Amino acid sequence: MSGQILRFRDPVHQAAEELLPWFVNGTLEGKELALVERHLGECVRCQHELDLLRELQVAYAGSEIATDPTESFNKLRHQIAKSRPQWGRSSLLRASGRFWQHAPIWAPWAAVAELAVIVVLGALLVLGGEPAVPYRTLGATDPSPHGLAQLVVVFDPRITEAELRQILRATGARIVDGPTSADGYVLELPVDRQASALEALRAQRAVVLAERLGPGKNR
Amino acid sequence: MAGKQTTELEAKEEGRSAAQQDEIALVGRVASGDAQAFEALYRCFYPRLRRFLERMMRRPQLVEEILNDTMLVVWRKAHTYNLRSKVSTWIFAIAFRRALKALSRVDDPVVFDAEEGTNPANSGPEGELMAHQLRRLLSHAMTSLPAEQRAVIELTYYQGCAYREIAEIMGCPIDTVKTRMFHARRKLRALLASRMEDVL
Repeated sequence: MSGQILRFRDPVHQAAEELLPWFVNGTLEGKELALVERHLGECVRCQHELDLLRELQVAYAGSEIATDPTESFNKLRHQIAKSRPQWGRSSLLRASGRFWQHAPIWAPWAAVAELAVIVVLGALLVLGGEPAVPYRTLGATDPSPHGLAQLVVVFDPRITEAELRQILRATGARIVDGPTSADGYVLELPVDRQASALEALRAQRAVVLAERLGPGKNR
Repeated sequence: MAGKQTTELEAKEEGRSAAQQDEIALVGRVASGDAQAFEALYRCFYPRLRRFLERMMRRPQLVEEILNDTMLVVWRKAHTYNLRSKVSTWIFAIAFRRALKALSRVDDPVVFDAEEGTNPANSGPEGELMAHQLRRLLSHAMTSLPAEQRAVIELTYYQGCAYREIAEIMGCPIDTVKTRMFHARRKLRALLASRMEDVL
């Protein structure tokens, strides 16, 4: 009886006995592993305890019933999608969040300075920048800024693509806009060919309407 | 013999390291909002977490809820994982805290499933019958332990955790882990002895 009490109070025995479960699961290392191994060689009580713990471990592990996580995962996926619509979102927001967490202390001030420069440049652009592009009406006297004339043409809806291409080649014009709401196309051609092109277009069976854009003498 | 054991341990350690690296990579991708990586991580941890929560909580109706709560935290807080511990330690620590919190709220009776983890078709031979009997008794005896002691038993005997890792998971000193294990062993030994006598 007294022998048992003395052994139980033995600090080496106590330390080894406490560590036995982790000796059984194989996670002890170094000095602790050596201590337990040495003690097991001389302590019958710990040897019995070790046998019991090994039996316990085998019984505890038991046989496992495999379960499919799909249903459970789908529930979680719906839960995430419902609470925060960020499922599968771009990493940009999270990455930027992490950047600010780990950025140097001066980073916010640098960002503020950069923003201020952008605001100043923006103000200069609005107040003293290039003049706005003038709005040009269809009735303007000089419809072409590059010495080109413009015509508006409405083609017969039955015209084929080949016929259209042939007409454009014959007149030396190219389509620069359209179709408009009235199915008209804006054609551009050299000013010196404007009159003859207009006449040729009007002669075409496939052309319903041909007019120059802006006021002209031949209208 | 000793040489063979060392080789086996080294192989096990190498395997663990590769698995741990995969887990770390997955958490990194989850932190950047990668839903596919999250699903892979979920599937990887589902069996272990489910088993841990079942054994610790003994309330099947709560297991899935707590498991998904845990993984929801993983999804939202993946960017806070700091590589100082294993991914499994980090995730099990979340699960442990969630489970304790849930257990503190509920007051329903503990469910004891005497047939859990067993297959009656395999209970023919005498040895298997004894093992089956021991599993039943052990499972029953476990219900009388506090949740913290059940967690220590589960993390040690099934999840194969070192006691330092268990201390990290449970957020307590190493000595507390050893004390909990010591008391759990003593209670289990007493309970199993008395019930074995009843059976025999």
